[in-house]
Amino acid sequence: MTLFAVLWIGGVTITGFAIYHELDEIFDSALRETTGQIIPIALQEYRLKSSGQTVAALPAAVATSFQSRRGHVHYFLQDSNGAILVQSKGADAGLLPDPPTNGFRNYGEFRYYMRFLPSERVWIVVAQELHERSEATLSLWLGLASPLLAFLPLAGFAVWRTVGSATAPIRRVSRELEVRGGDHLEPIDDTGLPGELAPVISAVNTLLTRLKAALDQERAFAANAAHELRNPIASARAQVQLARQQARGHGRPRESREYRLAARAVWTPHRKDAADVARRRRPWSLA
Amino acid sequence: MRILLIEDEPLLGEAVATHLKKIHAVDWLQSLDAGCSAMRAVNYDLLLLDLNLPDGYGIDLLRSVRGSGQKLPVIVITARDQIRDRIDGLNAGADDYVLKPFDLDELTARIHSVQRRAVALPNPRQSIGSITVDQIARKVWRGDQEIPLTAREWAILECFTHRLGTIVSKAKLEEVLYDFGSEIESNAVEVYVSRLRKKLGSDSISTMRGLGYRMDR
Repeated sequence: MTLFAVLWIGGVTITGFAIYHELDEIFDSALRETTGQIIPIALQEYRLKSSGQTVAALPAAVATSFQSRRGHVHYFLQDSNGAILVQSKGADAGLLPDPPTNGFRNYGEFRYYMRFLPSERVWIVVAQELHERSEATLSLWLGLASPLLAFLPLAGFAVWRTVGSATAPIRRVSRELEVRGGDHLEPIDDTGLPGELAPVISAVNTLLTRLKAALDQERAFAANAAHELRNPIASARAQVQLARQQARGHGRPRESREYRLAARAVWTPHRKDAADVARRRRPWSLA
Repeated sequence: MRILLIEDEPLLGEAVATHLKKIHAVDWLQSLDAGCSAMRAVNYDLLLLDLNLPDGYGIDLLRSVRGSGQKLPVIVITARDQIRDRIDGLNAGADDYVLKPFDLDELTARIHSVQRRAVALPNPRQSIGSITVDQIARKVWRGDQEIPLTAREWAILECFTHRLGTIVSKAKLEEVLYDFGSEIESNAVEVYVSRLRKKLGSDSISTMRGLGYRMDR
């Protein structure tokens, strides 16, 4: 997901810069074309002013043409010394770059196109506000990025859901292992586990089974050992107690048969095999 | 009280049987097969059951006893001391679980305790008409006067006190007397009932013709 987003952003950035460059060229081309249209008007105005006649407003068709060039355009005519001979209405002479040179140039908040007119030995300087280009570029960027902005949350949600459902069995196993006590050695439920994890759980279950069997054998051994020890002790104790009772009843201590039997009981190894008994287990009918 | 002891350890079985025979009729058998046969033939009052026996596991017999609906009190006597074994034994229907080695007097006390619970007599001291019976001390008083009883007389009286108000058959009384002598006279029951009547009062035990005897509350 992250790689996809990075690639997308990278692609959009490269495309954005390429289109921005093309847009710049289109704007410059339009500015050059506009300049070509302004030159006769500006020269006519310069000639009228030079001859002392009244300067008329620009023809309506020319003004409309300027507006269609996306943004305000100002123009100046300068002589070789930089003196302003003619300027469009509302143009601020303080913003002119000094000195004029042929070609395009950015200065302040304007994009300038300057051209020397050898016939009149004057410079035509046309300025276009840069924010027009910025707005166009911003619109371009927004257009390119908006699908990504809409797609990223959706893709993130989809990835979250997919990863969540894929890892749910793993989390289940993790929780089961967390809550297990030390004595809980039953196999782990491996249903629904991903194929990569199933062999691991299978191996763990095998280990648990072997561990449980070993512990059961150990317990059985301890129980049987206790059983084998307790039986002769119980016999000896009971026989001794019985002998004492009988001795008290007869009024004299004696080296009784019970004492001898009790002593023998302690040393007689018990050979009862608990496993054999377990194998012989069966229900008993009392009918 | 007639007790069946199933214990394969000869020295222990012999000691327990000898000890209990002073006050009860005891049949001592050393295998589950023999114990099953005895239970089919005799109506015992209590079963002392070892678990590890040569021909099987005592818990299986216990489950069969409970499965058949018998209320026979059962005390498990075993060397298996694991908590799991004790739980299994009690869950299988044992009334008590005694671990080896045990004191013979403690075993006797547990037998009496289980028996009292079985006959719903939690108080070991009973007042029956004009007589008072102490099951623990095994003594009887008529008013303030203690009445001496022989072992057989006590066995008969104990059998009645566990079944007050109900008819006790002659066969059941013979079973109680059975272990006290190798031979039982045909009129042994009548003889001991007669002796008890003389000691406790002529109206203490009623004869139910053709059915048996009854001691009223």
